[in-house]
Amino acid sequence: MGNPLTLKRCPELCRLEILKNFLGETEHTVISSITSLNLHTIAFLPDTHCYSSPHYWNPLDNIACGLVNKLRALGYKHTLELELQFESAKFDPKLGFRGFLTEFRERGRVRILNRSSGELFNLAVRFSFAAYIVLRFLTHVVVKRVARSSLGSAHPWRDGEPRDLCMTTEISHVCSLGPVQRPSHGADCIPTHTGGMVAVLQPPVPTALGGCTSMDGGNWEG
Amino acid sequence: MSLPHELLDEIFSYLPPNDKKSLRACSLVARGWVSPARRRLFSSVVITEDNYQSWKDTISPTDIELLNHVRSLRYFTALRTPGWVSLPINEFLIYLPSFHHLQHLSLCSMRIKSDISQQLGVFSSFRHTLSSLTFHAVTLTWFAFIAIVDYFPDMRDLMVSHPIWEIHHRQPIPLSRPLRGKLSINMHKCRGLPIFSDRLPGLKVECDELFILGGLDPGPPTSHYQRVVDSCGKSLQRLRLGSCACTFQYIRDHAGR
Repeated sequence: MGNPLTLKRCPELCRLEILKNFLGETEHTVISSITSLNLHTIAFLPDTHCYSSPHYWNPLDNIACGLVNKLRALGYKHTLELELQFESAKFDPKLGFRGFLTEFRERGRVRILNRSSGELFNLAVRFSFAAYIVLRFLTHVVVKRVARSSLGSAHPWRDGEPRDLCMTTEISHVCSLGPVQRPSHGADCIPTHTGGMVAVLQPPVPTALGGCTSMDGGNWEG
Repeated sequence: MSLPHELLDEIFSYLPPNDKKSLRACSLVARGWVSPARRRLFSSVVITEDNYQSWKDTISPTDIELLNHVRSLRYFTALRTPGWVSLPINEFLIYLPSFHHLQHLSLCSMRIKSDISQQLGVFSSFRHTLSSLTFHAVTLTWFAFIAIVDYFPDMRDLMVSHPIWEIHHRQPIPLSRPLRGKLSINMHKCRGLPIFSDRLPGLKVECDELFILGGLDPGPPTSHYQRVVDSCGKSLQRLRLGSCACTFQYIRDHAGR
């Protein structure tokens, strides 16, 4: 077999796509060998449910973190994005992505793309994917202890401060369902057009790295 | 009252891409519908041993009006063992001068003689429109390969899949211009890989996209793939490494061409 493939001589590499179901030493070596300071995205295109296994992603979490650290030391200025692409028919939303590349999410961005529908999910630093599935069917979102800015803004939780864009995207998606109302108990309430459920979210807690913990700690009222 | 062609094109665009039956029916509605329907019907042509005879019987090599609609042409024989039958390349060649707007040509399971460099004129009608070329299981010399690739100045997408290199004692020639755009190779467990990887660095390769199908599978020494990657290294922006198990992706990406 010889030495694994390395990408040390690809200084302009922007995007690496890996079409393989199970990641092993070979793929880890390939990823670790990247030295391009133009790298934007590493995409994974498996055709099975292999991504549901933590054994599959946990080593990658370390390797991706190591890669970002290495590139940062060389002067890397981009936000590295790991992208998982899947076909909707093969996707089980019950899987959740709670433990999905948790370390890396504090250093870069994780996106999940449904190739069939074109839907794109951005995972926040500690975003629960199951929460997102529920959020899609909400009629009201009530936020306890609302942060300074309004819920309808592009950065609903804090104004003027750099935030985790993934989180912002998810929340703004929900916020777009309807105008902000202020219920009597002081929380902001976002009615949607279908009626029925109300969700109560705790505001995200900023982390030292500029990201935020988000919906994992949320309370839900059906 | 006849509808403008632009409107008919818009209407036909709502038909599923592979719904040839509906397009054929549309072409019979009115004289004005023939050309827009044909444009879609013949935009992508696949000739195999199954339909070659009917193609030959119904379409004249000089029917330029019809053949002008062809943008993508795939000419191949499904690999069969033992004793698969190859399509007659010489009979097919007489059609080529009528493809004036061809953008993608896929040659599969055929043998190209080394004297092709003297016959490149058969490709002249689409020399400046062809941007994508695929060789799949083609038997040819490196000299013939370079001659064909070099003939098309605007080529941006080259796919080489399981080539069978014939020995030719002529000195390998370089390309007259750099090879740019996308290079895809599918040579997993292929004897043609060492020759390809040895000779690629001798070419001017400035591809910004490289797709190595089977590049992550155990089997061939990775030094061959490493040479291919390094050949594109300085200009390479997008790299796709695939295992053969994920060929679905590759097939889908190439299905519409």
